Formats: sequence, C-alpha cells, structure tokens
Amino acid sequence: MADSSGVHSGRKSARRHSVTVMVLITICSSVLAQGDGNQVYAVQQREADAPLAPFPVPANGSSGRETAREHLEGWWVSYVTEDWGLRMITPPKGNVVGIPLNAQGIAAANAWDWQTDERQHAECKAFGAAALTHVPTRLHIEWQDDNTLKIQSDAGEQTRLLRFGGEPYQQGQQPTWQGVSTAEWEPTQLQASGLEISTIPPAPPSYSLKVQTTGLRAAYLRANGVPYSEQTVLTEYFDTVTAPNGQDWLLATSIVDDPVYLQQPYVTTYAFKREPDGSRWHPTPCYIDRPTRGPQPVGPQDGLGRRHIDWPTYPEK
Amino acid sequence: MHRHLAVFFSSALLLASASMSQTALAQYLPLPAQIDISGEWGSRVYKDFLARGPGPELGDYTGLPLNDAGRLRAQSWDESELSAPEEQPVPHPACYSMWGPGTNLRIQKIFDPRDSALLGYTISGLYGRADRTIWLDGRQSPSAFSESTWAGFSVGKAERNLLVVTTTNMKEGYIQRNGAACSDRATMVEYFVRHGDLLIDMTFINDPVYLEEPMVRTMDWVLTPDLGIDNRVLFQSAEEVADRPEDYVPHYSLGARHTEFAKESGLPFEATQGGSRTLYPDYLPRLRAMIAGKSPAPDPWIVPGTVRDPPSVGDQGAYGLSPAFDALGVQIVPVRKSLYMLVVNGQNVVAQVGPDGVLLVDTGPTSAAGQLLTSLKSLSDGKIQYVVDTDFTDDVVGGVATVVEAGGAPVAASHYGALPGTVGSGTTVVAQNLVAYHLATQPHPSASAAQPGIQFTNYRALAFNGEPIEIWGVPAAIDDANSVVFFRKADVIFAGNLLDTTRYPRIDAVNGGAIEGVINGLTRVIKSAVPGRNATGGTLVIPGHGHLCNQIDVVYYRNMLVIIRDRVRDMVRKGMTLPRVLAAEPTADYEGLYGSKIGNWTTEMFVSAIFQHEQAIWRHKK
Repeated sequence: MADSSGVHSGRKSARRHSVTVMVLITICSSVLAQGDGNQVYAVQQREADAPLAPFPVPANGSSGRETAREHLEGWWVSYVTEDWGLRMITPPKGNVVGIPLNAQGIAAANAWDWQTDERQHAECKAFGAAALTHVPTRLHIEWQDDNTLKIQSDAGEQTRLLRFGGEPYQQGQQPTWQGVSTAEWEPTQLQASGLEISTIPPAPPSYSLKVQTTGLRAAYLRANGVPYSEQTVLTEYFDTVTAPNGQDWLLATSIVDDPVYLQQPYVTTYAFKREPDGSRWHPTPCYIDRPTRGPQPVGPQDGLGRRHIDWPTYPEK
Repeated sequence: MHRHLAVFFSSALLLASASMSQTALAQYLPLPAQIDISGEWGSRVYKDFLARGPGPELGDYTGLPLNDAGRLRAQSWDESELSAPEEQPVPHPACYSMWGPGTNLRIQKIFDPRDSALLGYTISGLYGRADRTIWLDGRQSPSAFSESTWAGFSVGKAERNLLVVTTTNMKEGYIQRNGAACSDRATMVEYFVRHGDLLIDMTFINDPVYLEEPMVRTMDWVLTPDLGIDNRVLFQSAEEVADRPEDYVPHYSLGARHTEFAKESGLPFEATQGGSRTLYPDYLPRLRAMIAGKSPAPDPWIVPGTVRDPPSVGDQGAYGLSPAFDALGVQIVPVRKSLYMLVVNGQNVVAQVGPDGVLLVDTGPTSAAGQLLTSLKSLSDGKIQYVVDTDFTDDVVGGVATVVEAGGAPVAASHYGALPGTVGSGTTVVAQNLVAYHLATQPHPSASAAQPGIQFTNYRALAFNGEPIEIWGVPAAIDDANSVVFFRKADVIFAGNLLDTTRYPRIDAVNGGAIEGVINGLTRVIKSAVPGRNATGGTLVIPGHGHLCNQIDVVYYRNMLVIIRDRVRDMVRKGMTLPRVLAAEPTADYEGLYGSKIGNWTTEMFVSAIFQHEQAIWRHKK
C-alpha cells in the first residue's frame, strides 16, 4: 500500500505542478498578449528588435480586396525558362511527354488535327484556364470590384474573373474557356513553436491566393491537342516573391484534376516577372500555331517504358 | 521537498518572465513561425521531362538565359569529358540538383541537442548524394577562401509564408546537362512555399559570368510519406578509355556550331541558342518569322521588368582579382590541423606549425613581410626553421630576407650541409637551384639574405613536425624555377603560382615559362591528389592566389588551359597571325573568371605567351 500510495501521491503532485505551470504560462501569455489590446503584440515587438518575420495584424474588413496580403495587381510577363520547346512553339502531334495522360488522353492527343480546329473556329482551345499560365503571355491583374479579381491575358485576349465568396459553377450552366472561379486567401501553413503558440492570432494570416475553377469547356493543356475535359477541376495558387535585386515575381501553380484524361493531377508552376506598366501589352486574338516537325515519341512502350522515336509523317510547314 | 522547491523556482521564473519588459523577453523567444518543409516529397516531373530525364540534346539551349560566354562554353563542351576518371564521380551541383532528373526528397530537421531548437534542414535524395544542409540558425557563410562544395553553403530565413534560402560557395557546375555552365561565382536564392501537401521551390541562379539574367525554375513536390529515398547512389570512377594522355580534354573547337538540334526540331538555329530575349513573348513574332523563312527586321531589345539586373562585366574584365582575394594585409585561413594558408597581400603562403617550429612555404611580397611575421606569431611561438621558395619572384619570396633575419642566420655546419631544425640554428631557405641562380643574377631586394641553404634540382624531401614533405620541381611552367610542395600527412598540396583561381597563369616566357609546363605541373598535382567522396574533399590544394581547392577544381582549371591552348594551337597551324588570334578571342568563355584588360597580367599577354610558344613548336616541327 505504501508503494501504491507513494506512486499515487507522486502522480497527484505531478498533476498539481502541471496545472500550476499551465496557469502560469497562461498568465504570462495573456500578459504578453495585452499590449495595446493587440493580440499579437509580443511577436510584433520582436520584429522591432530583430529582423524576424512576424505574423501580421489581420486586416480589417471582409472583402477579398480588404483582406488581401498579396499584391497581385499589376502587369506581369511570362519568363519562359521552362518547357520552352512546348510553350513558345507548338510541338509535334503526339508529343505528350510530361503530362500524366491515361490511355484515353493519349488517344485523344494522337487524334488531334489542327486543321479541324481551324475549320471549327476552335482557336481558343489552347488558351483555356487550365493552360493560360503556360502560354507565353502578359497578364494584367486588377480588382474589378471588392470581391472580384480580374486576370487578363494579351495572348488570346482572355479574361478570368476570380470571385471571393462567389458561387461555384452550377450544373446546367454553359461551360466556358475560363470557367467559373472562386477565390480565397489561403490560410497559411506557418508552424509556430514554443511560446509563440500562445500568440498565434485567431485568424492565421494568408499570403497566397487560392482559386478553384470548374465549368470549363473542354480544351487543351498543350497547344498540340493534349486534352482536358469539361469535368476538370482546376486548383491554382498565386504567390509572389521579391528577388534579391528587387524584381517581383509571380508564381502561378496549377493543379489540373481531370478524371477523364489524366491518371493523376497535373501539377505545374510557372514564373511571371512584374513589369512597371502596360506599355508592352499587345493583345492578340486566339490563334492556332501549326506544329513544328520535331521528333516525337510514338509507338508502343518497350519493356523499360520507353517509346521509339520516329519522324512524323504529316507535311512540313 | 525538492519537488516543491522546483515548482517554486519555475513559478518564480515564469512570473519574472512575465514582468520582464516585452522587448527583453522577445530576445529569448524561439525562432519565428515558419513553414515546415520536412518530410518525404515525391517529385512531379511534368516540366522539361526529356531534358531532365534522358537528357537534353547537344545544342539545345532553349529556355536558358545564356550570355555569349555561356553559349561559347556550352558549344565547346564535349560530353566525353565526363569519361575522365576525375569527373566520373561528380554529382549534380546545387545549381542543378533540385531540378535534376525528378528528384524525390527526404527533408529532415536538425535540432540542437541542448534545447531542441530547430537549427536547419538536411535534404537528401539528390543525384549522386550531393546532400544539402540549410542552416536556419543565422550562422555566417564561410570565407571566400574556403573550399567550395557541390551543395554549397545554404542559409535560410523565414519571410512571410516563405522559406528563403541563399546558397554560396558552390563549385563550378551546370544548369543543364549539355554544357550550359554555372560558374563558381554564381549564387542561388530559393523560395520554398507550401500549399498543404504541395511543396514548391522557386530557384534563382545568378551567375554574372555565364548568364544574362537569372535562371529561374520552379519545382513541385507532393508530400509522400514512406517514399523510400534511395541514398545508395555514390559514384566510383573507372578507367573508361585506356592509354589516354593524362592531359587529354575532349572539347569542340572554337567556332563549333551544334546545328543538329535545330535541324531536327525545325527551329531556327538562333532560337536554339538561348539568351534573354528568347525567353519572353516579345520573341514570338521574330521566331515565327524565322520559322516561316522570313528575315525578321532588326529590333532593339530591352529586358522587361521593373529592376535592371546587375551590369555586365566591366572593362577591368572579370570578377577575377576581386577585393576579397586581393586585399592588403594578412588573412589566416585554417587548412588542416597545424597547417594554415596565409593570404599576404593576395599571395597565398603556407605555414606548418608544430613542436619543431614553423615551416613556411613562400613569404609573399617584401612590403608585407612585417605583417606576415606578426601573423605567424599568433599561430606559433616556435622559430621559423625553414622557408621553402616555390619561385624567385618578389610577390612569392620578396619577404624572405626579413623572415630570415628574424630567425637568425643558419648555423654554419660541416661539409654535409647545414643542420636546419636543430636547436640554435637559424632559418634555412630551401629552393631549387634555379631559384638560387635567379636570385643571384637578377637584382632582387632579397638576393643576398634569401640565398637557399638547401638547393635541389628536381626533388627534395623533408621531415618536419612529424610530417613527410615532398618538394617537386616543375620544369618550364610559370618560369623555370617553380616548385610544388606536398604535405603528405596533412594531405595538402601547395601548387604555388601554377594555380591561380583569380586569373590566368602568369607565364614568364623570358625566364623559361611555357603553357605546356603549367599544364604538366597541374596534371601532376591532379594525379597526386586523392578526392574524397563524390569528387570533393580529400586532398586539399592551395593555389598561389585564390581559394582552397580540391582535385576537381584543379581539373577544371587545367582543362581551361588545355582548351585555350588547343584553340590557339589550331589557329597557329592555320597560319594565323597574333593579331588575328587575339581578335578571335580564344578565351572569351573564361574572361569572366580569369581575364583582365588592365594590370600587369592581361588576357592579351596570356594569349601572346601561348601563341609564341605554339608558334615556336610549329616552326620547329615544320
């Protein structure tokens, strides 16, 4: 019994101490958090002491524009250091490398005929929302109203409307190249530690724009007819960074989830450079850029998953 | 009772904390909140799949902001170079590794064992095990004189919802696996951002030597627990080509144009050559005109953006001989236990210290000898027993007289020679007999006091402070009196002025120097050095000027000399005159690293020295 009692006593004591410490931590936290009635005072104070990144004070207001912490507005231009041969020119038919197509998607890509698109006046198929940030273009982003961020491209003269608190696409609506987009400032992924936990503001700050788009008209992920369907759900994140030389950059991440043509979501991020104004804005209607005649992977895969490279048979330009 | 006391003190501590000024307390708070990038991350290689996986075609520089030097460097590159035993184990360098062939990552936290504070992250899974470490604890970058690594030195800081990582001290590498180079002057800034289970890394590579604008890339990973990162990939070199000359460096000749890619892909050749203007939508009209077979009208090009990037290389040429490397005074750089590199007015000298005293290799110029002696005193109270001269020029051994005077004259000994290192003896100078000859026959401030007490012709070995030390004579290199010193126990080679990471070797043809001798001397250094894992670490090589090197750095420097020599040789054999050779700019792709248009050793002097040597050989053969 004595042993048992002793253990019991120890546990009680430990529990008592834990409670005491918790109470004291709470007191300290509340004292720290009381400055000027601002709940994040302690962290803000530290910013003044040392160049550390604090949680910012949440902005007042509730509209998309009022709660914005990303300065996305302005003029941006594609910086095509990635996938140059797939974006600056239209690659040959059947070049689907890098896109996780399923068999149906590959078949659709191989069936592409640019002349059919031309006849059907489907020039904008390569400028749909799921591919618009891939296209070499300039973007102009501005607030159309307090809850609508408008993105325009000069290539293809497309306009996207990203609505904060807006209604998503409803079945029965007419699908469009740019679909219906709902926007929100994405809650941050910041991790706090130690005493900081007690100073996390009730509404964590957000620095990223998250956009979800549905109601898309079937179009192309790549100008050579690599398809996405009307069932596509497009999720996008827009972030900005400022390079050491002071140049602002926009990161446009898109996650294309298409149950019809893709094996798994197609994730890409492309970079845009901020420009001072719209002096180099050159609106160009949608166009069909005839494919180049480069080598293309065709034929069945071999045992190592490779495809033979053959020359295309369609006429050269 | 003890428990009650503990509770009392901890309670008191917390109350005291609460009553402290918030400013004071803030200093003791942990690191600020930041994104957590730890975990196992599956790469999504949906961009540039062919270039990252199988590899890019030769001549495909699309999407790369190469400048003219970068383009020439890439066009000269021959992938057979990778078959050299020294280059086979090279892993992907930092300016390429995160992009790489679809790199799955394991990112782990490093905690301080004392207080569990987050110190940084390690990143493994990179091709060739060029594992990276990102330090978050605010530590300083290593000195510019330090040895560089494939992964470089990375420090990170939280900024909004980003982890911003800056990497310096990278070895020369590449931004694409077809010869598009990334110089060792490059820096890399990365922005990591997380969106749920998605991790994005946006990378800026700033290379003033080979790029017109930063190389910008974005990589995407998806959190994939239990991914099973394969960390076994370590490379071992093998002899792939038997009986190949030791200094054989495969490369394409000056003016080579790899047109195959353009032909196969149906692109205009210009479009395949990269460059800033090809990276913007503004280039599309020109591109389409060329594809249609039309000649595009000339148009001025202004780089888009709100901030201009750093200006191009100025008249002084290069970023070589930067103030960091050429500063006045003495800087001490620890190399290995008991071995130090002292940078004396930009000239590197070596001090080995121990119970027997000090062995000094070179002294630097006369003007800094006093500062050198002061600095040596901070390393050892021992007497300077030996000074080894690796050359006879003032910048190398100008301070010998002062050093010898400080150490006292050597004790005269029997006909067997002086007995340096014995108690009571003074400082003994060790050098090739040709050093003695030059000191005796040329006006030199150190001529009388600096005469070597120990002379040799080709080779001399010493044992000092328990270390076997070899001194090799290198015939007809910078001049006719160069030596290389090999500290065998410390595994350090002092290459003297044969190796200069800040400029081309200063060949003194009048005193018997020749490019061939420099190449041969460096090749001997390469063959004597044994690298550690993945072509880094292992034997350290100290240059006459510049930063600490490993074997691979010497290989790259030697290869540069071979390539330039071969270009000049080709032109000589075509009967070209020196002015035409100079006009052809055979060093154009290395100017940003080693060139200079002014000063006492210009590019023109360097090319002229090679030209005259090659012309003499060619005339002799004819």
